[in-house]
Amino acid sequence: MPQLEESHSTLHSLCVRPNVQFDSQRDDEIVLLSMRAHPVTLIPAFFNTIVFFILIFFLNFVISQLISVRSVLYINIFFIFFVFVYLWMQIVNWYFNIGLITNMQIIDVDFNILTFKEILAQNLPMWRILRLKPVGLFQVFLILEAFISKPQDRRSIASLS
Amino acid sequence: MEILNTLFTVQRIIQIGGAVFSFLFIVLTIQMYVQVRSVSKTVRTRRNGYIQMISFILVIISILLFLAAIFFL
Repeated sequence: MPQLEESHSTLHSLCVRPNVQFDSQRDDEIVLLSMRAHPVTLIPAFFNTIVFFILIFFLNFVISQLISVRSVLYINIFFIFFVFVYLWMQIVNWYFNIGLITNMQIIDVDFNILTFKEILAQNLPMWRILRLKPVGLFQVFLILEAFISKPQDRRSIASLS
Repeated sequence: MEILNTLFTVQRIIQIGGAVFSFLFIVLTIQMYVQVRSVSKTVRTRRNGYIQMISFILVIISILLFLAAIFFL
């Protein structure tokens, strides 16, 4: 087994030897690599949050002339909470959409905070193709794709990194 | 007509709207918390505890918002 040096931080999309365990992990199984989308993919969510906050700020000027101070306060708290929940959902979705490569298998966790959780696991000898496909405007993102070798069962695990 | 005017004041509409939306928020945040707990058991990372705690706080805040819509407005 290759000796890999530990290399990970919060804002890394590819973490080598991360401090991650999973449900069906065997005793001698070691997580070599964890992959999740690059944090830059969260920029739209942060941008939307800022836009929401600006909207709330200007909405105050309009509604404060129409309704009581108490209602304005409630609407403000409600919208701020709404925006925070939206941002939190995006962050948690990003955090738990993770791909793991261990010395024995490859695991892909597809997760949506509101609807589903899907876990694909496959033993490593079954995987034939691991390819890195550059995408995006400046080809800066990489999609790691791994296919099962059986042609009739051509599922793919794709992790944006 | 006068009854309708007293029933559907702006204040009352905000109160009902706040209660309905905050109730939906309770459902949403509870669903969020359940999903986070579920995935935390599958993939265990160092930050799972914090993520669960923040999700739980969001559930509490949404319940408080619901109560505020009923009693405070």
